[in-house]
Amino acid sequence: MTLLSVYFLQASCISFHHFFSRSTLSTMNLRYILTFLCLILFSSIGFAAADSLVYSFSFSDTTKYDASLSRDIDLKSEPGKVILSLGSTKNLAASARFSTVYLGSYPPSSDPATPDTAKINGAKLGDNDFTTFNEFPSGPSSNIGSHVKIDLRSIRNVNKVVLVNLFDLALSYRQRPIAFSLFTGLDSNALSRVYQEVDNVDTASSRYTINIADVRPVQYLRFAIDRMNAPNATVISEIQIFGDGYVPDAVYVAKVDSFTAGQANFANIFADAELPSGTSISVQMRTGTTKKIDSVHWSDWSEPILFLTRDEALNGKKLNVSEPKKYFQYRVNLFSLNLQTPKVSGIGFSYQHTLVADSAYASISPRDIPAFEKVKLNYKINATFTGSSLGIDTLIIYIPSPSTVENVLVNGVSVPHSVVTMPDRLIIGFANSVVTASTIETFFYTRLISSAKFTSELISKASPWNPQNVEPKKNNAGEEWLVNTTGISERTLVNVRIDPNPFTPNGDGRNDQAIVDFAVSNVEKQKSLRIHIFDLLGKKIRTLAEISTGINPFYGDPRAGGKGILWDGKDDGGNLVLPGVYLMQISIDTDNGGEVLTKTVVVSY
Amino acid sequence: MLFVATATLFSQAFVDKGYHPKTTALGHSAIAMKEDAALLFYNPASIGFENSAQVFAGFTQLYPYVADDNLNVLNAGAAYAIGSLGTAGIGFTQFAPNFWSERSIVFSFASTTLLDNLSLGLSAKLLSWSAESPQGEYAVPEPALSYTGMSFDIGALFVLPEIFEKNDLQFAIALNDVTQPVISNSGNGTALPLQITAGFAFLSHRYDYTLYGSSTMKNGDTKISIGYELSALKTTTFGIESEFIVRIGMGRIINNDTQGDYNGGFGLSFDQLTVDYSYSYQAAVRHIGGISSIALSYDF
Repeated sequence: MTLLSVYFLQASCISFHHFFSRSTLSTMNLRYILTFLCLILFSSIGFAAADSLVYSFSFSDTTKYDASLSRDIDLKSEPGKVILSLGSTKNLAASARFSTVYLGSYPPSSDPATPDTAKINGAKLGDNDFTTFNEFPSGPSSNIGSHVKIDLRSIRNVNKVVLVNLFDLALSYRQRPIAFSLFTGLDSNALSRVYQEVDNVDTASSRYTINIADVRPVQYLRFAIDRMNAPNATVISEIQIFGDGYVPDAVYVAKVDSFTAGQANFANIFADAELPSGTSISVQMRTGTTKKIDSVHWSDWSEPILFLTRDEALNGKKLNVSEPKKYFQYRVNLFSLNLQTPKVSGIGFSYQHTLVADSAYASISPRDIPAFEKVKLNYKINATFTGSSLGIDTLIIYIPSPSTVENVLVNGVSVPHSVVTMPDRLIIGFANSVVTASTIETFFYTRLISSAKFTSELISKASPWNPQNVEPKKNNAGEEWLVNTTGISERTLVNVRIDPNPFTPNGDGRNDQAIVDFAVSNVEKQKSLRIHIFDLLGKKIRTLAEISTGINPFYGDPRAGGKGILWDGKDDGGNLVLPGVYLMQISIDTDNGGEVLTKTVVVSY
Repeated sequence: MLFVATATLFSQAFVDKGYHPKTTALGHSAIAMKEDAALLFYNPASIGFENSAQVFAGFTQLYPYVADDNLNVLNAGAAYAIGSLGTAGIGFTQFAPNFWSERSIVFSFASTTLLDNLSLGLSAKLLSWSAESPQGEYAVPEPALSYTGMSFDIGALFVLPEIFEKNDLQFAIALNDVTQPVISNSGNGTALPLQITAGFAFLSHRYDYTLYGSSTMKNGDTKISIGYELSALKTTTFGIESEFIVRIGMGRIINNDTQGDYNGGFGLSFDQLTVDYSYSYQAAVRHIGGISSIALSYDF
């Protein structure tokens, strides 16, 4: 086995390991197998394992959290654990979902030109803004029976509901809610009446408080209008909801901590927690180069990682933080959908001081490219090393659309390497470790629909379990791994090509299939996409695709990682069509209706 | 013995893309039309009753809203009566969009020597296509391909004149591509399928209209077509006869509803010169426009 092929296998193995680690697939066994294969391979070529350290923290120390950034946590009720605080004074409406059903013939205007539309908004009954309101107009056919539906999005023992008048002021008799009912329950289709007011005569108060006698678990509420006095409308500014139980969510933020041994690379984060049914936690981290947090020296919070035990974290998602760094801060997000609370007793993460590279900064050029057009980019990494650095054996570049590598240079010289191309990343394995200060240039072709960042990771064969994130090179214009696109098309179907054309489906392995190569732009949601083949008399002979698109996807060559759609020259019956000219029609629903494009395709054999 | 040319209805290369606006406007139902060189491509027997000569030339534009291509067809044909022997015909059609070129030359002969009211015809067709080599980013180098071959059609047309007072009834049948040639460059693949079409025409001389109907079977598909032609206006000015004819027609594949067309057109003749126009809307494929066809004919 040549050295190059060894490194090709190495790159492939690492790529699969990380691909499945980052995916949502339940492929634990496969990940274990791939990890095992990687270890066997690495062992066979010999290397010294890098250090793997663990940072752990117990919540028995109640002095190490940042009170200014934390909220709604309880560190005292259960010593050594952080739990949700009790939320009897917390207005549950803030996190609830409101909707209104109007039964009358005069619902509030939905005309955007109406000045007060923004205020007459049933969805704003929980925004704690007394100037926004919901109105039930009266008239020849009044709004009696109209109701507000409320989903708390969690289960709570609701014991009090407060109706707040407009501007939190006492209103005249006719404008206050005068007769209404409140229904609650766990099934939105089977709510029970828990309160009824038949004649509210209180004109002195700005709020009406409903104290619920029969307190029980509730997720859904319905407030219904039973009577109103024409011609005035019934107006409500807020519906506040209170109940026993824990707050729905809380945040624990630790104080800034640091490594005494200097900067480190971060690997996996895990927790020690009890999670009753309906509860969950996630953890995040940010890192920096100074003790004081600011936007210049510190990164943003990493993406939340759902609860993992230490064993699970070994094969879980790597912490995606700016690294290597000396200072760090982590946060725990606690959630509950019912009357129970998660209990977190400890947090830990693995890290290493032995770095792949002492520093690594990435930039890309050109920075401005035309949208949808195939362009050649140069991804440049400037890396420095110390004597203890492990060196770069594999480079992973994350790509927003399918790309193909042309060449890889180290300090301007082409080096032996292998390339594994995946839809979302390029994996470059170096035959010889890069261990001295270097500029690594990767030239590749790609197409972009919109501006995108090209992030990357460095991997050493000594620590394949902990890739080192590359940092962006920065200038006044921002991060230099950002590529901006120009000339965004107004069309939805962009750069439609049938390639090759003509194609020759004679089974000789050359041009046997035509690739429908295009991109979908300017859609914000998944859309229905259809591709049909017609003969010149308009007879539909083949349905190539009837699918839902993703957002802004490329449908390029599937052999290059695209989600391309192929035609093999056969009709729907599986019969090879006669040579000739056919019509390929692509139609897609758009945010503004639909778009259709028809092109000719020649079958020749 | 007679020879005529026809074209296939549902196959791709050499498919009928609109040989003549007269037949297109009638929804391709006019297989039982007689004495018209326009029918030369459909039923070889159709020219058997021609007693002089006729020539035509036409242009057809398909689907103007297809992107990045021009789907135009050129057609021409002629029929010439050779005394009592019968009628000879010749037709030519060419279709040359991007990457593809397709031509067919049809030699036809039809005769009524067997029975006065029966025309029998046969066509020999010289078919050829050529395609450019595959092009594109993903194309693997491969030579350009082409094909040249022969195919044959046979047909019959029977006329029952002056029935139901001043009316004619005509019946026709045509078998196209009876030899079912394989039209691929390699000689492998699907052959041009046999197409069988039977139809009728009812001509009312009293009211100057003709009703057409036909049924076509091919490749498991059955298509029913009907057409109606009305002489809307006839005048004589300065000794020159002129006529305005209106035509409509439609057709549909009835067994799987994968194709249907709605057609209309007109003809305007001045003495021996006629201009015909048709527009065909294909129901199954939308957003690309229809098929427009225009032709100029001269009767000697």
